[in-house]
Amino acid sequence: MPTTEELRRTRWTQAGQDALFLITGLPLWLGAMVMLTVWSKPLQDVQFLGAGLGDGDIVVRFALSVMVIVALMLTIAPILTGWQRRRFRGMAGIEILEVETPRIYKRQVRAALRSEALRRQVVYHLLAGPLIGVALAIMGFAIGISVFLVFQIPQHMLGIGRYQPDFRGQKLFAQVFSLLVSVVTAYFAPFLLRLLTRADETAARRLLGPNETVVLAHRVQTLSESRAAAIEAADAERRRIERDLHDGAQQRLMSLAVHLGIARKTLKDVEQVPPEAMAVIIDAHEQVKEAMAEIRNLVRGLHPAVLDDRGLDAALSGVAARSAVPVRLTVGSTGPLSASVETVAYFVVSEALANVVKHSHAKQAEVDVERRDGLLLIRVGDDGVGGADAQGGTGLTGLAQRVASVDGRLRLTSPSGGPTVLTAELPCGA
Amino acid sequence: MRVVIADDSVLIRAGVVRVLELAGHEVVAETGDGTALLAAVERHRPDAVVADVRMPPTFKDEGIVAAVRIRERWPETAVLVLSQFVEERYATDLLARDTARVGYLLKDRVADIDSFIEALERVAAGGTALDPEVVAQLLVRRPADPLDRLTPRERDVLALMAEGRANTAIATVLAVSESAVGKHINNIFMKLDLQPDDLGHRRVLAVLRYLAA
Repeated sequence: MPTTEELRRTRWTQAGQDALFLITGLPLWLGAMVMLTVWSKPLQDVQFLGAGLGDGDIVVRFALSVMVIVALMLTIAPILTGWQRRRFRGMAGIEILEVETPRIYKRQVRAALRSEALRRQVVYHLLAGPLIGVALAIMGFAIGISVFLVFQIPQHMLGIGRYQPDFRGQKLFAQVFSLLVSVVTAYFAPFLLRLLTRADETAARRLLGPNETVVLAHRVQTLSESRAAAIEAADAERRRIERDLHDGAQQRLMSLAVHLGIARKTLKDVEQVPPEAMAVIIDAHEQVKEAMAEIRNLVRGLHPAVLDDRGLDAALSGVAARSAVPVRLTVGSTGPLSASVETVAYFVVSEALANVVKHSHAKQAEVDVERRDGLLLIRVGDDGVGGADAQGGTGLTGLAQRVASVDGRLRLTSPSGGPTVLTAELPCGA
Repeated sequence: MRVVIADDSVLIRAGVVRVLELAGHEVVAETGDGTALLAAVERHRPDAVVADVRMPPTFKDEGIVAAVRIRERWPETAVLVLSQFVEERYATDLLARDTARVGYLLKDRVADIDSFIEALERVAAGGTALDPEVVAQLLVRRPADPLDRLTPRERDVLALMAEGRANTAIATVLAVSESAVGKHINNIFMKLDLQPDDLGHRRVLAVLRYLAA
């Protein structure tokens, strides 16, 4: 918990920062107004603009002036916006996202006139900004007066100033009232500065930054990038585990199995070996072989090396052959697929077959994979009892998430009594 | 028999060496990657090679690539490929030219000393040794073709033929008489439309049909 003292200090530090930030805005807001006035004035007056027009053609003159002003404003708005963006980043640490706007000097006149972003920028530079500037100026003026009064009043009271003290009436009242106002103003200055800073920030975000659609699009982009990165990381992790098991546990188990095998073979015909000891060796040998098979199946489900090496088609043979329910596998021509689509597709088949084995009581399963109209279609069907619930098993939920990670769709039809058909559609480019 | 072995794991190499020496074979060279394996085969001209699939530098299919190379350059050398995982795609690569003097087994099988040695000797004698798991992988991809006409028992027999077993061995595995195996094989030849000329030739054709379909 910050103490009152600390709070006060932060409040004044903040007020200082806000004041500095707002003051740096002044030249830019003023600049826009000044540039507009200064530049448009001589242009309106030059001869060719009014050539052949009498003094009476006030409408035409006015129209020309408006055109010049609009053109000028559209030209300088992006430049001012750039400066403002730098100001927000540098002085307040606020990032105003950049918007690509058409430039008049690049002959993109029509686009510039239609540009909604440019219109918003003009509103900021000519309206929102100057308004905040004016508010700031009024506040500065009030504070200035208050400071002036704080120094003046004691002099009045002591009678050493230019004015003679007047203890008789209204003047004293006015002075005391001014003092009161100045104290109140000074006290509330930090809040007002904060308020103005917030107002400026909000205006800049709304008017100088991209509009909501663009912001949302940007957000979607960021989210899908981070989602892809998360999935990429998970896949890399699976590969790493596969490699670690391959280089570690699997080799040790194999070495162990070979040694037990040698022991079993060499001791088989030796008569002195107690039958119990022999039985233990045989048992250990069988168990370690089972452990090897189990670990192999586990690793096969993670991320088979052959998937990277020879692609989805090749990798599916292993997963189909491993299934306890007989599988008929048909893979059409899939063409080149991205690694992420291949990984998800492999995962879909692997998980779907695991579910068939666990829940369906099926005698036969079929896996069909083909590419059609930019979609990789995966169909896993079985002749089991049906009644599978897409919401029920965690396996299916995980599967749906994996499929969604590549913007794919997962469908399950499983009437009670069967058959169960799981379909996944993965977008894979045209 | 003189054997060259290739595996990047010292642990596994040691195990394989022990098993081979126990069976009275001589390990003339141990190597850790595909390039070294080819050099060792060039130098020692062994009777057989026992090679791992995943080896440096890429840890992908170096062993398969080296095995295919060895089968091309030194066809008299038998090649037995061992792997933590078997893949039908690698098997197809290995068997692309012919099914003689080649084997592809899970490393697990080394632990069954007798049948491993039997498989190696069978390969060295000109036969084939395919892991049942590879055969299972090939089986899941059967489209509607003549093989569908085979009865389950005939499929078992054909799978064992593809593993490179002789009729006697098939009879033992399936616990039937050798004449019954012969009858099944004749049915297989008939259903696959293989004309009765050379018996051994038909056998290879049946297996190839089975593997390539």
